[in-house]
Amino acid sequence: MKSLKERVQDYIYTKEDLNLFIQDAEKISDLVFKNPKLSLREKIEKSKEKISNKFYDFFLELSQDGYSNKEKILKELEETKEELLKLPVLKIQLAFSPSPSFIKEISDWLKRNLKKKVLLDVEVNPVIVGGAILEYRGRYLDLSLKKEIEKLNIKDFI
Amino acid sequence: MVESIIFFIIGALILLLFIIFFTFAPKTQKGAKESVITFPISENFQKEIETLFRTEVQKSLEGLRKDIKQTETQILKSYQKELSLSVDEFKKDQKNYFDALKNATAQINQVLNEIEETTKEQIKVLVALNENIQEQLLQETDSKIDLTNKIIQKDLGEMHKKLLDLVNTFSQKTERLLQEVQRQAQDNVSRMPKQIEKSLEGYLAKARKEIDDYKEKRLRQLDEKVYLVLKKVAIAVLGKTIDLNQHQQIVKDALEKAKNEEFFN
Repeated sequence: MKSLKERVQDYIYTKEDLNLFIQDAEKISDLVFKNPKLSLREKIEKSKEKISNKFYDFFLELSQDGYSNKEKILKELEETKEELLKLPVLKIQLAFSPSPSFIKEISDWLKRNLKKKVLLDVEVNPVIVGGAILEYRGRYLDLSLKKEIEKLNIKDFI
Repeated sequence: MVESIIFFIIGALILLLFIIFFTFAPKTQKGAKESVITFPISENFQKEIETLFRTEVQKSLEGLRKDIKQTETQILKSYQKELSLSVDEFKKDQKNYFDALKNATAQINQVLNEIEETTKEQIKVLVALNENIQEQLLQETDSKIDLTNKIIQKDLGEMHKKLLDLVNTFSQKTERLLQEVQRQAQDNVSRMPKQIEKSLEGYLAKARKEIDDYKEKRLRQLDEKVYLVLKKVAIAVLGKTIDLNQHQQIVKDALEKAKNEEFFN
């Protein structure tokens, strides 16, 4: 069985996802010790409105599988959070608003080629026309269409 | 007078007190030698004495009042007399004073009139003297002016001669200079058209070159602007014509390119 950390990485692709997860994890941690008569699952079901849609099913699954020990849940959540915060981040500027499937595609491509999980920090900037501008570990690369157009010598086309 | 009456009254009172004392004094039984004759007084007698005493005192008091009034009026009269006397004297003095003042002012006026007359006479004398002096001064200045006029005329004559000489020599020199200048000007005029032509040609060439340079520069600037506009148009048009699939493909190609350039290492 996959660990909590491994399982959660299947849900987290972007920095936004990470922030959402951290917020939900804190809410779950609060719920663990409240209403001792109710099970964790029941508590999560009751607090559906407070938890994001993205991670609701994830936490419900979590409450079913052997995570009935409260201290264990809290510990694992905390460790997972710390691990996720250490992940490298690729800042990518795009000229269009990417779909969740395309984001997943880029994330999978990065995992395949870089052999590690990389979080995406997506910024939509139509000015770049197309392509992407990348920032990773202090390095910067402009692969936008705007730059290509500016490089062109228009005189050659007139 | 008043004082004597007062003393009389006081003496009578003291006598009466002695009588009453000795009448009612207690009898001393010590020693047979002190023998006092006492006369008991009846009530009627006592009353009579009292009324008599009262009437006497009242009479004397009335007399005293009268005397006081009399003396008062006398004193007032005497004071009034004295005051009227002093007022009369004051009036007399004032009258005397005013009379003296009138006399003094009359005298002063007289003196002033005398002074005025004497000053008028003196002024007449001074005016006459002034006129004399003026006449004398005029005579003297006239003579002196005549003298200076003669001297000036003499000097002017000499200066006039000198000036004439100067003018002659100056005019001769200027005439010679003018002739020289005329000759040179004629030479220059004959040479000028060629020189002007040369310099004009130079200016023209320079102006033509400047115009050409400016034209080239402006055309270059215009080209740059046109290229800039075209680029902007291309960017705007491209941004709108690329579809989602093309965008995604371009991004994937960009990632591949980044990997090949070892951007992620």
